Amino acid sequence: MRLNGVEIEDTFAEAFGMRAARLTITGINDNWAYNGAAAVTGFATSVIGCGVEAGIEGYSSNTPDGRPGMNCLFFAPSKDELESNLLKRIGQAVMTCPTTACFDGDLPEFKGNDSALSKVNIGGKLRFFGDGYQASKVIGAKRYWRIPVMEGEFLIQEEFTLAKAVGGGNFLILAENVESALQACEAAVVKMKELKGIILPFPGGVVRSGSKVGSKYKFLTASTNTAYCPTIKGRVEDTMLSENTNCVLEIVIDGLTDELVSKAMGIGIRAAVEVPGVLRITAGNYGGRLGKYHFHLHKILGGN
Amino acid sequence: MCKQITLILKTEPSLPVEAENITPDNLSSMDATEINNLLLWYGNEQRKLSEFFTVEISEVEEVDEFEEGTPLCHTRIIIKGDLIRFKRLGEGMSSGELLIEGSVGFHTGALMKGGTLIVRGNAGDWLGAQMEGGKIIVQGSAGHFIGSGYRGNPQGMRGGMILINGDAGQMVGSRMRRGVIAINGNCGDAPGYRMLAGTLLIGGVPGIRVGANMKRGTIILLKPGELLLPTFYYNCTYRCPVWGLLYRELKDQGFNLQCSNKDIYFKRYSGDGNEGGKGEILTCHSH
Repeated sequence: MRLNGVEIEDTFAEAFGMRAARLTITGINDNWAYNGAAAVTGFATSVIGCGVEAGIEGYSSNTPDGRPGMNCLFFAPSKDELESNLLKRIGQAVMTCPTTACFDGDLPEFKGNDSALSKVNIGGKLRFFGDGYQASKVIGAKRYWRIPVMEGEFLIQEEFTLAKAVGGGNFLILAENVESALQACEAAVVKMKELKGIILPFPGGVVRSGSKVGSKYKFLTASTNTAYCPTIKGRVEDTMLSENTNCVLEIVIDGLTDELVSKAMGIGIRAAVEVPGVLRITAGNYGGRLGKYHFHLHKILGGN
Repeated sequence: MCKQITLILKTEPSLPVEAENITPDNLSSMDATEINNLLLWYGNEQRKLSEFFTVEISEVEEVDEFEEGTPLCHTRIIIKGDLIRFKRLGEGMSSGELLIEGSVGFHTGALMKGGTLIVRGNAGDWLGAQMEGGKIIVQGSAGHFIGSGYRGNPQGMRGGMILINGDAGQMVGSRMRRGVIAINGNCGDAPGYRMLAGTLLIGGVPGIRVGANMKRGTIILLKPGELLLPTFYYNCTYRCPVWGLLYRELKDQGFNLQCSNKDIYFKRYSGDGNEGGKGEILTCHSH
């Protein structure tokens, strides 16, 4: 299959079932809401080394306290891991950020699908930082905790909603040079970020160090994706790169639903192939053995 | 489809009527004959409901205003007339809607557990006393002991919301344990007396002894009147994060406060010092 002259490989992205949460972080103004959101979603590119994958979705137009706010999405492999990471991150990055408050974001994507949702207690655990001076407030059937801090009060909702979600959707852009690959990624990221319910957890939405399962070293479970590394394609027998391919970049997508991931991939690929110098689009998978979700590129793009 | 039962008052009774049987829960499964034969205490004798009201039953199709497209399915009772001598209307109701297109007597919505009760006129004393859930909206004023606990009961209101657009009497929210009471107008003495928790908002000028003997909970005064009791201690002047939540919640319920959500500072007082000082009074400093 070709799209704008670019080869779309007949393969699929393999993604995994994850747990996700949406947080709404508000502040006295846009700047402080952003500072809180940026801190809480920092160093969260991959569950492999960060425990959680996170990103800022965008500004929220309808926050619980009427202040400026930002929505952030978090993904982790299990409910327990997501809960422990949220606890750490909110405690260290939102509670510490002046004027911010932290709320359980709405999940309209799961309307009518309550079986995909569960609750975790975050505010009810962070409250102990108040050293006995914390106070709860129940408004509209939701409990909030007010923790006294030097600036005033940190307000946090007691319970947060977790949803069954999808992590690890991806596609790879193979290009003649780094400029073309980056330009294609940037174009794709801009378009994909218009879609709510997904995040692109890597820096600028792009990852250059894609990995494969296993390593020659016994202590490593994953290592660099040698088949797609241009600098060693002459040494690697199973290289996947053609003679004129000199740069490969990957975009990883986590989404609240598989439909959203699929849609984001389609939007991203269509934007990427418009850039001159892009040679081929492919996707990362493990032979279909590990992940529950398979996103076939041809199917996403309307081919056979 | 909503079952809509309309009760039209024939003549105003000369004696008080105990109308605790008139709730959406009770009437939802009854036909017109059963409703007409429902017994109400009139003074010291029981009379049929048909002696007081004309009954009309209809079915209307409605959708939830918040969940677009979701059909509503509940019982709505509309009572037309001046019900000032009718007591205990909606007592203990747990679902549906009770709309009173006039004023109503004592104990309206007492012990309520759910649903919505709307009074277009004024309400008497003990409105929502010991209620546990649901929502009461009074478009006029209300009497004393709103959301309070009855004599001998250590706890008043334990959940839900009472919204009064006009004024309120004395001892609003006395011994309330949870929930929200909001009054747009003035109120009498000792609001939040022996309050245990929950939120009491007074938009107008309160009487004296605000929060006397309160243990916990929040009293918000948008127009602070007399000096607070000396057992309340000033802490700071700050932007209270909870205010935004409460403001938004009240606005969502159609309750329009005479102030904005932004640029409001509150003076925070802890008290009552005689009871441990874990309660708070927030007085609006500027808006």
